[in-house]
Amino acid sequence: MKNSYTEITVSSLGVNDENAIITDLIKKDGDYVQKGEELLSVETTKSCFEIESSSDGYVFNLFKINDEINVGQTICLIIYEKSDFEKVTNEYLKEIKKTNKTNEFKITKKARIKAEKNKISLNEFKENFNGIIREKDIDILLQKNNLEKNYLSEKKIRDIAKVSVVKNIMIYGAVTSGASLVDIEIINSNPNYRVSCFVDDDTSKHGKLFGLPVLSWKEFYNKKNILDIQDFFVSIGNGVARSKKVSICKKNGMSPINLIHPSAEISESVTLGENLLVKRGAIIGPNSFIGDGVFIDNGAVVSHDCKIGVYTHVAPGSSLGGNIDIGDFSIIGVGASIASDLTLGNGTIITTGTAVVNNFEKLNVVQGNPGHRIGKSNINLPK
Amino acid sequence: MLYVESINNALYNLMDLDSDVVLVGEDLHDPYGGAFKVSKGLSTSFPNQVISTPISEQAIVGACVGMAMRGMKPIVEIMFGDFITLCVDQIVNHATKYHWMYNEQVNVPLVIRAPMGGGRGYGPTHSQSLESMFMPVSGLKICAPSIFHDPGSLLSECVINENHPVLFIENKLSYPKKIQIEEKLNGGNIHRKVLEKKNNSSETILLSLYPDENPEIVIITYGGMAETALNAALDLFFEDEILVNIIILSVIRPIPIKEFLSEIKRAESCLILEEGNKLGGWGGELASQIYETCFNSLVMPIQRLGSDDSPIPSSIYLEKNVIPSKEKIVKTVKSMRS
Amino acid sequence: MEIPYRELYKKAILIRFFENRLLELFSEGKLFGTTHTYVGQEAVAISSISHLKKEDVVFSNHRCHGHYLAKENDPKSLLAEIMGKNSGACGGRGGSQHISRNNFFSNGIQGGILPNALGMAFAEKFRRSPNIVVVFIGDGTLGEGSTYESMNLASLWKVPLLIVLENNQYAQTTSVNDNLAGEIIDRAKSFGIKSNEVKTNDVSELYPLFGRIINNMRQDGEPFFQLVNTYRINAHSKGDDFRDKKEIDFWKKKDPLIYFKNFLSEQEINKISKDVMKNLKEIEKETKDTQIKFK
Repeated sequence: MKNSYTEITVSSLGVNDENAIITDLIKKDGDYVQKGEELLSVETTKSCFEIESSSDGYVFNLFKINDEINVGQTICLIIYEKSDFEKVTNEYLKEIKKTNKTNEFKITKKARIKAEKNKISLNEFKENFNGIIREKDIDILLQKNNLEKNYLSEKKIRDIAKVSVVKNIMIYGAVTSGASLVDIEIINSNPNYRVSCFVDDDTSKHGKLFGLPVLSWKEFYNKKNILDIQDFFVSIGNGVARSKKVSICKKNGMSPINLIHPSAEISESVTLGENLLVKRGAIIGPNSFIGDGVFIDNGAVVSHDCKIGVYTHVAPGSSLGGNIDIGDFSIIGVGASIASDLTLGNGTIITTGTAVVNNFEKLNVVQGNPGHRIGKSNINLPK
Repeated sequence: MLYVESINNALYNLMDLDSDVVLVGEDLHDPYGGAFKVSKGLSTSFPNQVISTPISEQAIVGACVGMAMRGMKPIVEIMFGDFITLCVDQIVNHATKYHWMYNEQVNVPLVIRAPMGGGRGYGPTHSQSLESMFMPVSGLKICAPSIFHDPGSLLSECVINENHPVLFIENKLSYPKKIQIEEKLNGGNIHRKVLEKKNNSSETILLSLYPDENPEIVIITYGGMAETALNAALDLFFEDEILVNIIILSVIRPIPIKEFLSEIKRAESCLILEEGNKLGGWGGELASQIYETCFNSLVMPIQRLGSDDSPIPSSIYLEKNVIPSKEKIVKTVKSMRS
Repeated sequence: MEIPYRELYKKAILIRFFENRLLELFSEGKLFGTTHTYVGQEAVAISSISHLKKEDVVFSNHRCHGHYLAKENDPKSLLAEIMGKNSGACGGRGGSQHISRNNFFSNGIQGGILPNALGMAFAEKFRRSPNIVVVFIGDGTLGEGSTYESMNLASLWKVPLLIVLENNQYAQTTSVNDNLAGEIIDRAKSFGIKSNEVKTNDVSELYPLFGRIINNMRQDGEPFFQLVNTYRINAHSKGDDFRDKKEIDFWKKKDPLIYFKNFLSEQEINKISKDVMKNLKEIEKETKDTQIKFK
């Protein structure tokens, strides 16, 4: 095919010209030209001139009058044989269409690879997506698809609940990020539990999340019996708020459950409170006491003989030595380390990566290595 | 509108509005209209205000200093920015000194326009970006608009409102390009925002793919390199999803750092990009100022990219190896992350 | 043309006393930096500048005190400037060689001022004003290329620029014989600039000469090049004098002040000198006592 035509391009025009406008098509499609004959006229900011054919053949124009063209761009084809004309032009146009098609849809390499791997058709984006598709967008789409596949509609859950002994769980606190997915994953890893709905005080979140209904407390309270939900887990990150919601639910006759990931290792001698969240790979050593509402995050290590006060959050990867007493409503930051035999007061905040080697009174913010007090914590301890 | 047209229109309007505005330089008259056609048509419309001169850069600039001291508004065109070396005495010891040294009794409202930059194969003495030579010259403002600015309105601003000398750098490769000053560029993917002004005469632009997200790296640049930086940022995003914002200055001396400090703090670090020589260049000064003001917010060291410490070859193939390219920017940004 | 000898002498002796006092102040350690005295060349400044109006421009060089005193007649602002006081002509920023007041300017860069004066003359012509610009250069300035760029443009543009070249025979320590090839006057002629050369320190010759030149320039608005061969009796600045003593003594006999004896009585001369000296002493005392304020 390539041998049967010549491409006519616009070469450099003048000192400042990168584009030009087609002012006249001297030859129409299918006209025969000889080498050196004028094909079309173009105009730049400075001058008008004609472009000549570089060979004999039949003309096929790729632009219309008034179209803007760039230097180096192919503007017309000269097809040597009349018999090839239709075939060449059709294939050429098809080729242009193909390149245009990939261009009209902007997607990053990572997103394209992920989409292809997961067999996601990019058409899924077309309707309501404006801009560039990146990996994150594919992830969101995958999550949505998975959840729709794995979790059943509200009605079906109700039907299943009626015929099985599975306990339906309400999660208090709906988060669009992965935090809620962790809760769902842990709950559903226990064959006796099934997440049924979310409750959240923020009206903007009401509707659906991961295919599950998000209700207000009032709405939930009215539907509670129909939905057959007696068990709950409060997933709110703020310890003080978490403690309040747990007590409200309990006052209304519901029971809190503990979310403990199957991969967490908890020694048999550990005393556990209620509404606990223990995530993947966390380790809790012998004789430890874990208070109500404590969150032990991914990969956190509590050696032995530790007491962790109620509603304290032990963030991912933090390490606690032996015989440590941590007060209530405290936060141990990501990757923080606490030496053995120390006591930290209520409402302590240990910042990310801090190494604690001394005791601290209540309500201190501790940072650095060795950790030192850098201010007063803003945790509002309940009276 | 093309970059060259924007400047040409501005010159037309300036001369039309104020008969004290004169354009002085070599080969400006029609039909030639200047080496880069910036003055095309002007000598026909304003025969008294367009003054074509002999090849005497020092006397041209010096005479314009004198005109400015007497209240005229001269604009000098230096045919190739490289020839600015011939006017250094006038810029350093005269134009920028008089106002201060005479205890503010006189003003020198002079604009010196100079096309700088390579990419056209003009060789070692016609392709340089010498503006950073003037960084230590106090009393001088250097304005170097990119295609993401409206160079004409910045020029008008300098001519109308400035009472002191301005070196106005135009990039040769920008002349034939369309200026891109819409809010959304590149088919809507690129958001263009004018950062809050701390000084009226400067216009600092932020280009970003996702304005609400913090970028990994922010590239700080000006002039002809702005477009190269954008192409590199698009490549980095489409290939590796590395989010890069671009800050484009119009005034590079004094550096309006307050206008974009908060944008630097959003990123993990910055890459300072200039077309001129990296050794002793503008970027070194900027990097120091950033370190002095926001060292703590940087996650990794600032990197600089400029021309190699070499004259610029005439061969366009060799020239590409000396001047920063899209590929070099991509490579540098990737190396910063590893 | 009537020559106002009394006025001219008053200015000449002011310059002489002022400059010599500066050198004394230097040796007393009261001044800093450097200075270039105008002693021996006074006749050129007073003979030319006395014909100018207030609106005319004078652009001078590093050796500018004489021109400044002739134009502005204000030794107080000049001394304060050289002593680095706020009350100086430029608040102490400019010092000895960077002075400006009204339409007087000076800068210490050889050759650099000529293009500036050219542009000023262009501006006067562009606005059809009757004013002229006078620029003072020396024989040393002829070594700078900008001199010729400017002369070429002055001739092409036909601007009212009077170039006064004071050939004091030395570029700092180097004699014109070692510096200059050919004839100075030919350099101006080759650009088609009207030109003239004299060798005198006598105000009775110089004053009418400049009167004619400046009058003509106001008529035709074209540039003029006046070469005056004179001599600087003092060193270039200070402590850099290596000239032949005989040569200096020869020129001391041609001291511009001596010529005034032909036109003024000894009594008159003494009276004027005394008055000027008294006034200068008062100014010096006042200036010395001024406190420096920092902005």
